[in-house]
Amino acid sequence: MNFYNLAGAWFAVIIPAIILMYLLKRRRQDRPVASILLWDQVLRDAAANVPWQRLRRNLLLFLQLLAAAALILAIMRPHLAGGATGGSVFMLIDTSASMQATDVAPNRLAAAVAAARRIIGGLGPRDEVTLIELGQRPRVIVSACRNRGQIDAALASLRAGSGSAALEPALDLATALAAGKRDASLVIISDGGVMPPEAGYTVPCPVRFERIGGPANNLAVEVVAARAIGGRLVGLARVRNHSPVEADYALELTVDGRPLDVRRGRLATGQSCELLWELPADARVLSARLQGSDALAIDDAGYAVVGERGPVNVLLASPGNVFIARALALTPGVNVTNLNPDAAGVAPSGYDLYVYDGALPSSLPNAPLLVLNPPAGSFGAGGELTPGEFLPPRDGESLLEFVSLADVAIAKARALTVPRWGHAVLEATATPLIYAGERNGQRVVVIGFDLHQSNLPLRPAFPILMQNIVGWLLPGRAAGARALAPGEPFVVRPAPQAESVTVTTPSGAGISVVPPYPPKPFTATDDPGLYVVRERIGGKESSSFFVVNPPPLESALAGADSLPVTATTAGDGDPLPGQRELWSVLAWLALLILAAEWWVYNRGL
Amino acid sequence: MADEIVFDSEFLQGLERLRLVMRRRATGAHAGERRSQKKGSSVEFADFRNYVAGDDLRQVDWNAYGRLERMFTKLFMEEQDTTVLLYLDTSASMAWGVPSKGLLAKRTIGALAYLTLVGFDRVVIAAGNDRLREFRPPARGRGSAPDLWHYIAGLPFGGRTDLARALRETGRLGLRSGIAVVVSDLLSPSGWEEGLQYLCHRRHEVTVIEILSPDELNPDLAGDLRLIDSETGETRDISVTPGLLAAYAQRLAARQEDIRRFCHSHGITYLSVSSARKAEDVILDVLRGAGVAGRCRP
Repeated sequence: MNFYNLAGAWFAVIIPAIILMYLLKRRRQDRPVASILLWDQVLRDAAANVPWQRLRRNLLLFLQLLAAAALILAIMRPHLAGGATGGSVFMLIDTSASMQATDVAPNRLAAAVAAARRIIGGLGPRDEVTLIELGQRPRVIVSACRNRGQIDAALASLRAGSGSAALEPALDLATALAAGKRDASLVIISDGGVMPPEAGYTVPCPVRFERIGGPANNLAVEVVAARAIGGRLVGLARVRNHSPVEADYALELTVDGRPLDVRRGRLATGQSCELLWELPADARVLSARLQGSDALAIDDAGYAVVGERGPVNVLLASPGNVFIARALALTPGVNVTNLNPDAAGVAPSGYDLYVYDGALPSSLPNAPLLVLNPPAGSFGAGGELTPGEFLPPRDGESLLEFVSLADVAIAKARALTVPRWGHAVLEATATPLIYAGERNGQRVVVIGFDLHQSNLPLRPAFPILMQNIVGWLLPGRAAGARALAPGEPFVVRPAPQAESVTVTTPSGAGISVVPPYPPKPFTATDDPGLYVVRERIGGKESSSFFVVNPPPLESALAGADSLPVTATTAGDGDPLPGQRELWSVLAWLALLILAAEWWVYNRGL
Repeated sequence: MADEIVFDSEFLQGLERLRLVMRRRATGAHAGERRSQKKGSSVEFADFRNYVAGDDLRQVDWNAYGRLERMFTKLFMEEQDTTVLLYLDTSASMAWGVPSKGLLAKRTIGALAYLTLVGFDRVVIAAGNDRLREFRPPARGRGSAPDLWHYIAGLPFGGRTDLARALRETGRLGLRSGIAVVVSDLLSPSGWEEGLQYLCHRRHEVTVIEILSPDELNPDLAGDLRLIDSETGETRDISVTPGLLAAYAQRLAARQEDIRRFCHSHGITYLSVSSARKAEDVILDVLRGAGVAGRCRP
């Protein structure tokens, strides 16, 4: 037998209290009578009739103690655990950023772990437990385990992250694990601040939502950004009040580590306001921090990278393709160097991106490449043909984002064979037209037709396509977007000649990324804040930045009262597998004992 | 207790019409109003016998001599007085109760004494608790009544009860057989049977008047109590419940039934009265109703 509410044992102090009251009650009221002769006979008669009469007073005490014990046990909510087979409990424990909130002492995660321990403590020895961390990506931390020590250790190792909690993948995982298990049940321990499944979710077993925390005082920096507007650099920050009450805020803006301004204001519940600053022209990193403290600290600061100062150097080797030169030059911070293809026998070094139109150098540089109309025999190009109709592009193809090909026509294209390292971006019925991929650790995009053989350069789609391509080839540089969500990997694209690349995290730890080549994506982006990427080229060190901001969803501490998760089996709910709560039985028992006590008292047995 | 025993004249007049009934013939030493077993000089004819020399010639039936020429002597019932022993239990328990059992007992004894005196009988007052404590020699005549009442009123209550021993000790008073009235609550640890049996053995016509206070007949108790005996100081812890009170009532009824049965088998008249009653009622109603006191012969 186990107990849901062990703290109820404190009520046991009532037992000594009852005994004490009995002891005190022994001080009987003195009543002189003429003679006790008659009473003696009465008491003797009673004793003779009922052998246990002498215990009668003690019987009342005994009955009262029994009733009190039954009530205390009922308060402690005991339950019988486990059938013979035992059940499987799948426990999803929210480790999103909002679980760091301290509205529940010491914090929500600790409360969640305590709740999990309580539930596990109530399981039978044959019940097995699977713990799944409900974070950005679900993670099984203990699988089908009956070893309570191991489960305990796993629970103790849980840390609240700074990301959001994606419920659907976790439910997918749990459902998959639960398939084929008898007597499975699902427990979701969360504050309700999760990314819910879009259209509800049905799980094939009883599900129980253990909610931690509730509405709490929290101000959050939702957005920090910098934009060049009319030649001036403007910083923007948005503050939202998630508290259930009106709240004052004081937002401090720091530019490159130097405090710039503090703005104060008052926000109603759920209200947000946007604050604008004019930034110094040389600003690089912007951070906005709320002064004071609230239930959740992680969302009190936001960061933004203003954009890379260093220009992107592009080498364009083209026999005078005006379209491509114009399109490349549209991207801010891009310097385009035109080169006669004849002079391109050997690729000059020092450029960030090489664009070859129609011709290729004898040796290709180890750098991002954009190849237009490759000569036959290179990059899988063959003879010319009529490409035919466009095939619908792949879903989520980032290179074709916002690119409308509706009125685009291509007269002739080279027959392309997509190499193993690439994937087709745009295909026509006869041949792939554009493909992209990573060759020797460098990104390559191949456009298999001459722009002059198409009306594409004259369409609005063209500059967008070029922007997408350059952005993809030079991630984080030309595109300038360097804000990540926690846990999102940062793809390191070192300059070809970089000797070493080190990332310094907000906590100050320096992590070496390069060497080795090719660099792995940098994944230690759990902590929100400013990350400094230091690249050493030829003894010179240059630094760039990226920032990690907590997901705004996590700031709403109130969470949801219920989750859109239902059980297909009837009686979605409370009792975990094989458990039977006994409190009602005990409560009835206590009532019966009290009735018996009353009867004994009245009958004077 | 120094309550004067005072009766109103109406009650006393009522008493004058009553007498203690005696079933047996009296065996007194003085001429009285009770028929005795002896033949003597009274107006009530009893028998004839042959004249023997020395008989009182006034008693010869001359009419019979005229007809039969034989001398017969007329025999008349001799009327003698009798001794009435009034025993008052003066143990501490008798002083108990509201109204006091002792007061009713004294008034009853006082009324009985008056009844006796006006009936030309002798009255002996005895009082005792665990032994015979007080004794007043026989008194006769209506004129003794105020003295007796004063004496009765001055009898103190106290001490334990040993009815058997106290009644046994009345034997030392050397009383002839007569009437004995015992007024007590019969709450004697040594038992009430033996003393009464002793009085029967002394050929008394015994009447027992058991006086219990209302709170003994119907205890008004509640809660957890420590009962303290007024005589011994002993204590009993009880938790009063309806069940216990019912058991008490049952026990009391059984006890009274025991006494009644015992008295019936020994020819004892038994009366149980509540101390809430008046002595007048006890005498006029209860004693008469029970046949202890009857109208005197005209």
